[in-house]
Amino acid sequence: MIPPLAKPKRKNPVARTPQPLLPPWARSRAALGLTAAAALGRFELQVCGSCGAVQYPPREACHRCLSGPLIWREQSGTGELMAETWVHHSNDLFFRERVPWRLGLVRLDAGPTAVVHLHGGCAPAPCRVRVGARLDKSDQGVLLAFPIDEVPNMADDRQLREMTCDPKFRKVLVTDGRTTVGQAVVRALAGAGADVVWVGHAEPWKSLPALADLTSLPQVALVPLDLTDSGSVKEIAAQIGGRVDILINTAEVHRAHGIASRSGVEVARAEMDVNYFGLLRLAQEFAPVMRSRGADGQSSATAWVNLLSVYALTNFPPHGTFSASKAAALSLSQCLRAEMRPGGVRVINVFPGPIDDEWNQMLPPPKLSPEALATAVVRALKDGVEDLYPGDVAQEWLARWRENPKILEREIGV
Amino acid sequence: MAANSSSRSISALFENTATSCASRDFLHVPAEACAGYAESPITLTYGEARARIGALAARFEAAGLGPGCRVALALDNRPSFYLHFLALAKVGVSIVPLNTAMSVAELAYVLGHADVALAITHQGHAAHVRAALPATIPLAVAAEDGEAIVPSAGPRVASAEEAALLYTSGTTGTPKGCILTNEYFLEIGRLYTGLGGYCRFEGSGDRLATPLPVTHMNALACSFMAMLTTGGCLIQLDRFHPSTWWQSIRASGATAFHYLGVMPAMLLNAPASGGDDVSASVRFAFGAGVDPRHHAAFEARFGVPLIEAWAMTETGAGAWITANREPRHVGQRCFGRPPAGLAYRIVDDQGSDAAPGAAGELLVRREGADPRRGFFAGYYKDEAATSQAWAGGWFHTGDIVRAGEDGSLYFVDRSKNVVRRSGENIAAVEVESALQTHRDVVASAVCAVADEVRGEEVFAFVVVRPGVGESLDTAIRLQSHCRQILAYYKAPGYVSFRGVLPQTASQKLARAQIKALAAGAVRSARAFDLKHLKKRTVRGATKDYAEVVLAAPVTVPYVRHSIRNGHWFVAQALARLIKESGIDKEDIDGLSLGSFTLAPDTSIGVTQHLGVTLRWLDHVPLGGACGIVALRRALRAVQSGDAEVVACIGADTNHVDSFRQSLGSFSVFARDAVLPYGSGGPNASFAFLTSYYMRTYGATREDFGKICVAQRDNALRYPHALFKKKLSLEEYLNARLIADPIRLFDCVMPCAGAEGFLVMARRRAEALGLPYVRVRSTCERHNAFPDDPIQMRGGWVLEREHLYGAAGVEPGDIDFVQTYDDYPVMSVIQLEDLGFCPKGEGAEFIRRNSFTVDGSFPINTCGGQLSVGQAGCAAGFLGLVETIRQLTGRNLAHPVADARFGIAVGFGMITYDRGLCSGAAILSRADA
Repeated sequence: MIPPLAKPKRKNPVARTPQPLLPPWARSRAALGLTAAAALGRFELQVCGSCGAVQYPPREACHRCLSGPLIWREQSGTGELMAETWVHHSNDLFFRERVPWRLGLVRLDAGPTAVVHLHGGCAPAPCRVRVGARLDKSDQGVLLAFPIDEVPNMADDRQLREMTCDPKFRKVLVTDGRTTVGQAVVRALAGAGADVVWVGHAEPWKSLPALADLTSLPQVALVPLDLTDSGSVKEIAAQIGGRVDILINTAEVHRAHGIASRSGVEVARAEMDVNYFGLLRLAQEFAPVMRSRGADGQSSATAWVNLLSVYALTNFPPHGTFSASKAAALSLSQCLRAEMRPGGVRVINVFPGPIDDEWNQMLPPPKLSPEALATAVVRALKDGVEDLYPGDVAQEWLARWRENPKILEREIGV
Repeated sequence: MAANSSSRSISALFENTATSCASRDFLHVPAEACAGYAESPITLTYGEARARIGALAARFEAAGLGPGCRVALALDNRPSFYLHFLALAKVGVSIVPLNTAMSVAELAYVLGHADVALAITHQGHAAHVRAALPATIPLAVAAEDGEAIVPSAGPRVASAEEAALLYTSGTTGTPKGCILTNEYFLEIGRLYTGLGGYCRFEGSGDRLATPLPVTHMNALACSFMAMLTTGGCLIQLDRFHPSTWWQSIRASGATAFHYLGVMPAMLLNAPASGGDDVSASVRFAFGAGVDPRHHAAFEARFGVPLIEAWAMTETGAGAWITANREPRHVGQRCFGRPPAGLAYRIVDDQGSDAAPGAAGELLVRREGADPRRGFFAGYYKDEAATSQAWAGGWFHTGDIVRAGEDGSLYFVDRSKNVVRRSGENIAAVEVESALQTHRDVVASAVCAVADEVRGEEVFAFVVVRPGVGESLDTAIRLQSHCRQILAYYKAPGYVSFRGVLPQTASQKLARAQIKALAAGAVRSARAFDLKHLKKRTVRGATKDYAEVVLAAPVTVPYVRHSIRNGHWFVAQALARLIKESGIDKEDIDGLSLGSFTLAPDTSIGVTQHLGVTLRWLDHVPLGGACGIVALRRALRAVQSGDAEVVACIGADTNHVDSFRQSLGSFSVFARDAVLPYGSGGPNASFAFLTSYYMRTYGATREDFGKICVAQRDNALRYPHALFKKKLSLEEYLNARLIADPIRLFDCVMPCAGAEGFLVMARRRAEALGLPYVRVRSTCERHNAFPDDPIQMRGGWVLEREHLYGAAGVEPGDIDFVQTYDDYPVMSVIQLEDLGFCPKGEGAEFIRRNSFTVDGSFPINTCGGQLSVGQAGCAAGFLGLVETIRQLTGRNLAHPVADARFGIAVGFGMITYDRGLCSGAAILSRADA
């Protein structure tokens, strides 16, 4: 039985904020394959391309036939929990603060035996379990065994929450509430039990009916925030920066142009000013304080979400300057991710295909509805993934890009 | 020959022959067939054999063995088998020949079923047989080619007529014991030697060679009895060696030999040469199952007629058919015409006579008043099976044959659920039962498929649980599972996965259809071919360690933490070795080091650091196994002359933070797949093993506690133990939790310290006046049983037979054991794996023993690591050094009274979820 998560008490303002600690992060290059898959929410193991043997822990060569290649393949994860233990003593500082910690030894149906974090909903050994991969606090892939069937309050398991960014009882800043996506994200967060949702509004003097609707939700508060204005960002960070647990940057400028279709750089600059510099301004003001609050109790700072675009991977010429600004933002987000990691705050990049909004009017369906995007974002927080490609178009682009980015460039550029 | 036809027993026949042919050869073993245990070929005359048999029989009789008793013989194809057989026959005792290729489980079934009074084996199989033998039955160990000592007598259950109880695989899965009487044997001898035609025996000049196992009726009763009857010489090989076969035949002067189908196939594989024809010396070959394609080719090339015959253990001479006269129908699977006096039928599935020329099951019986004359007397303790075999007054052979127009019989097929691989009958049901015990198997069907070399091979269709990969990996796991339960040759050579198995209307496996599907799967390569993994695990004897000894055990006293580094501890150990032995520093010319705390140095850096010039240097970074492994390397170095005096040292320091730091860099797998889980070091791994062991085998915390408390008692009598306070069971049970169910006193305490000893020639030790111990045998095995999902056994299981065999001792001879006690569960697993108690009975064993140095079954006589401390790699040396002290009488700890043999165990390198290195050494007192 997992006790339901209780709303945390108010923080004692006098008490010292514990410094964030990370579980051991060192990995071999082979083992990073597990991390790469877990970043996408997948559990993959190496499978020998010659003999089919499944390997774990990750290896450089097939332990059965010594040949290769070893291909990372998605696993069902079912297996038998052979034995379990509660670790009461650890020399590692991260775990030392968190013992007792439940571990299991699982014989995967696919063959190998794995040491895993053991979800509290699993029955005592022996029993059937389903192993999945998650990113831990140091953003590295680890294995976690879940009960085969859903149990109440699954997400509230203490160990699981160390690997996820569940918005339940957390305070969230959504940087722009003026877009349909921003509004959908705010509603989804409220539905997921967020404690407070601050919603940025770049032009507070303008009244927008959609924003007014949002403020009828008890958790929601509008805050003035203009990402093109360093002073505005600094000001709001000074007010709420120390309380933001999750930052979701939904602000974007999107115009449907390539290079030749419009002269001058003003529109492209406006896109960059929000999509790239806006992120940079936010990061400079919010990242340091969030990073320092990575272990601040049950609702610590936990995630930073960037709304990018699948066009960040490969330029989509009809939306050429927009693609470029998102590519710049993607690159910057990787820097942000590296800087946030010591605080245990996950940077989640969202790569949607065309969203069903006014700027994609000319594109044929399928287009991603703002609501579906918002649901996917909340799901990503709950699963703790690092890269999210919501919708069929994004999934297809990803598959094509992973297979061969050059081919994708040619296909798109026709 | 005429005189012998009236003998009433095997023993009487032998006595008659031995009297008339005393100086003639009785038994000959060529050098290549006894290389494992004798240095030159063995030849025994009838006279010599009679003397040895007489002496042996007298000892059996003195021990109270007599008519009605049975004795199991696991003596392979060695001369000692025949000597024991005839000696036991002389005192009226029946034998139960054991095939040592059988797994422990299979042997245990036979030994449990046969009601034997005693089992006799030689050293090499002692541990294997002991493991299978009920505790109440004594085991006698015969010298390599000698006689056994008989400890006691037992039940008398056999009839006075019985000469042997021979187990056959049958078709039902469990082996059945065929009761074979003296008359059965004598009849075979008479029949075979009187066949005539191509099977011509000429009396005492006959020399009949056979590579077949004495655990089959062919060698046990046919070739052997033929030679006893004619006064000829039996040439018994250990097994079939294709490369030296003709050399054996020529050099031993064989006039005939026995074969199985696989032998012509392999012999024809060798390139032909001008000297292939052996017709000048070899008159005929007698056997069965030659591949039709090879029959004529073989006869043409080698000049020897292959005389095909048919008989079964059950039928004996009662139904024996031979193609010993023309027309032999060479190359048509013809085995001749039934002799006069033998009645037979060929029946279809309904039991009606098959149409003339049609194939059907062969039924046989004797004509006249006694239809069972010459046959076996029945299946032991299985009247139902005996009646079933004789249903309707005919013996049902299970073989499918057809009759030709001239009355010749042709072999068509084995009964559908038997695989005949290289002369071994394998019941499909038996393999299916073994597969069925695997957790991933839902259903299975086993059948024979044709095989170029072995005649037939075992094929298994398997339905696996949903979610289990139908991969090569799974196939290998299933085969390896079978090899652990069954003799190696019974494991599937092919595995193919299916969703469902073909069934008949009555929900039984459709065997004929399965056989056809299997043949198709092999042809189209839709089955995993695992034949290459089916290997007999035989190993040549390793050279012993005679003349090399261990001396000068030293300890650098342990401290919890030290500000010195690893080099300091090595230096201290070396200085003590020099002082203890009186050898100059310059005279130590070899060094083997085990240490985790010399980084960035290895042992070479230490040579300069300590100013030693060496001609042999080793570094053994194998943790808890480094002592045993260093010892093994050093022994060979001294033996070969590469070094004269080797110092073996395990040394480590322990700074306040070194343990934590060494964990972080211990192994790639630990870094990738253990440390990120918060399980610092092996505590969690052993928590898994401990809880699994407790749950599976019913052990309790109190059981493990008893070991820890006993070791603490031992430690209180050893000056260097870091723990100096008595430990109560209560304190053990209530200690601080480390990783459930492991608590503080289950875990070793890291500390600093060193241990060492010297390896040198015995004469050197004697010249120095140093007390020394002998090394009887050693072993190491790494990454054993990688497919076990959780470590419940180590490499010792694979090495046990060799370890005891080479040492010439049994577990019962061992006076104390130094287990590698990093956690008490490992001590228990080691005691099981080393044969002190069966797997899973460790808890029971703990409850029976006290483990204290002055109690029953002393272990870790100085307190072990659990009470002395774990000084890094020195932990791999602690047990060895303490063993040397105990056996040289230079005890620091309390001595084990009159100890002659001790075992030190090594175990180490928990790189992921289990310890990879297993090792052990049996040491003995200088005079033992």
